[in-house]
Amino acid sequence: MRHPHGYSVTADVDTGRQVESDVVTCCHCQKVCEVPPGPMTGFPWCFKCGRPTCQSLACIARCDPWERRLERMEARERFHRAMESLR
Amino acid sequence: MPKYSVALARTLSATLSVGTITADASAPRRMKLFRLIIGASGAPADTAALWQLQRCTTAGTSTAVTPQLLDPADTVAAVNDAGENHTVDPTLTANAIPFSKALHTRAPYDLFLGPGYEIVTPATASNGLALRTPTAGSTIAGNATIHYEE
Repeated sequence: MRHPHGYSVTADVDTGRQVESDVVTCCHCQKVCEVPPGPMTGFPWCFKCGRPTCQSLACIARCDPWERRLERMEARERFHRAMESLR
Repeated sequence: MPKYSVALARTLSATLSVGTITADASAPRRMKLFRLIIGASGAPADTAALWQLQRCTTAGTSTAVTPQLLDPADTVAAVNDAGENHTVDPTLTANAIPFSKALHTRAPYDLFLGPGYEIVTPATASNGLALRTPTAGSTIAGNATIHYEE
């Protein structure tokens, strides 16, 4: 893979050889996906984010970047804290 | 932003987490996990376990672990809370599993995520990641090291 997001290293139990894989993370849910060697086919692509997504239907069907979801979660927390301070 | 290392250990359990890293309840900060090393330190056996990182919204009950600075020149203590050997599991978010890997207990695993591609948790009280083995073929001692930035 030309621009992997990371890599993983493990061992083949039968042969004892080291096995390395490139990984990508889904731009919508951050799921870590191992990429098989060769051309990166079979991975859905989000053209808004310009990054691959995982195979989950929710991530393929709708562009909802993780950063935006984080901001929503944090805004909800700030709102709850503000409401509690009013009690 | 300082980087920290947390070492987690427990006898593998299908119901209880190996460990968690969660945002502090009063001063939450985002956490960016960029390295995960997992393996088993018990006597080798021909068994396997499914390792998962799952998002959680509470910390559960565990033994506290103090995150160690990767760069001793940094002097800021970690804000996020780490725990291992859970007796009460954290509240897990259904289907929010950014990492899942079935591994033979003889095979260690090292995952490295580059800058900008880390697994990020929100700066929301007690939200974070739980390292779990929902399917464990044996009760072997499991170990994990997590490197993260906050």
